[in-house]
Amino acid sequence: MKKYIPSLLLLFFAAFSLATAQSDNISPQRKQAIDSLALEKVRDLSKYISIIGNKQTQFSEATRVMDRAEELFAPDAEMGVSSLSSNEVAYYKVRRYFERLMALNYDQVTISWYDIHYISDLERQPDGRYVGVVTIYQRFEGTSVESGLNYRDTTKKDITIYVEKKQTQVAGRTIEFWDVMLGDIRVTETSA
Amino acid sequence: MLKPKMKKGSFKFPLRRLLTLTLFCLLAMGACKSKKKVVEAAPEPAPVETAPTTPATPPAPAADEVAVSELENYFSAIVNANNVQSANRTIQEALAMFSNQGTPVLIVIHEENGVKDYDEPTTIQAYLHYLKDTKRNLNFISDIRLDGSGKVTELELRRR
Repeated sequence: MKKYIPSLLLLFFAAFSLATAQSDNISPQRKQAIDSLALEKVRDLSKYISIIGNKQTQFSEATRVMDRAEELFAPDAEMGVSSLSSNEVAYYKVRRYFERLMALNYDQVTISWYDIHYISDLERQPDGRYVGVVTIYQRFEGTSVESGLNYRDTTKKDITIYVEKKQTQVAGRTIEFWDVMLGDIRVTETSA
Repeated sequence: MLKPKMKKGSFKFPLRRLLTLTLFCLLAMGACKSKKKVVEAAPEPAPVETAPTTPATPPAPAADEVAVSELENYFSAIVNANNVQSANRTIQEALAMFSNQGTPVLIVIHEENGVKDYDEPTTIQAYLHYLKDTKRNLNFISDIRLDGSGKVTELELRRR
């Protein structure tokens, strides 16, 4: 009997692992929907940043959009900021970044994000959250009419994304939803 | 040495059964034939003249269908607005359709085996401003709930 104990233990652990894996698996279509949802949040952020930085945006609108943009982020998330004139990258809390963006001393500011895509797919972690990384290219153009100062740069940034299933109450019933949170946005390249 | 006895009449029994079956089929076919003759012999009924009917008027659209159509138009107008002021005016018009600005909006991103996956629930006011900010209408109205006075109390959207 003793000689069968290792085999039985191995069989037990194999069955346990299989049961656990099956409960964690989601269908490819469902995973794709979650991937798309997270990518949409990044695109939403790009729109918000463009609105906040636009000098034509009224203060009340910019403040409202800053609130919406801040809600996309996990607590204490930071945004990296770089410049062609310095090798250093500064990191600010996202709210502070938005406030600095709105206060830039240009007459016209244009910020656009492009080539938004995953460089690391969303993968399930032991705690149940999905974590992935999206990269973006940002084109920044600042124009000052009075001083004739023009600044342009292109920055590559990586955004960590967290997706988690959460619950909330809607009209007296419990709704489960996929909560997408953006983490730190780190600068990886800066060019003219 | 005894030889095993064969069953007597084993050849005749299936033949008898076959003959009985054949006879039954012939009788059945004959019965069907006679029924057919009865059908053919019956005289055709005289045509009855009926008064020409007026074309039926289409039923009036239900209140929820009207509300969905109006809302979809508002969503499109907000996304395509030329400026923020125009979009804000349209947002105020759309909000008048709802019981309050905090009316919940659920967005289904996927459904499988009857289980729905939702984006984070929002309110109609936040959603309308979201349309203005992003200038994209990614969803269509899949379900709507109205109260007794025709105001929208809940909205469900789905990804196109």
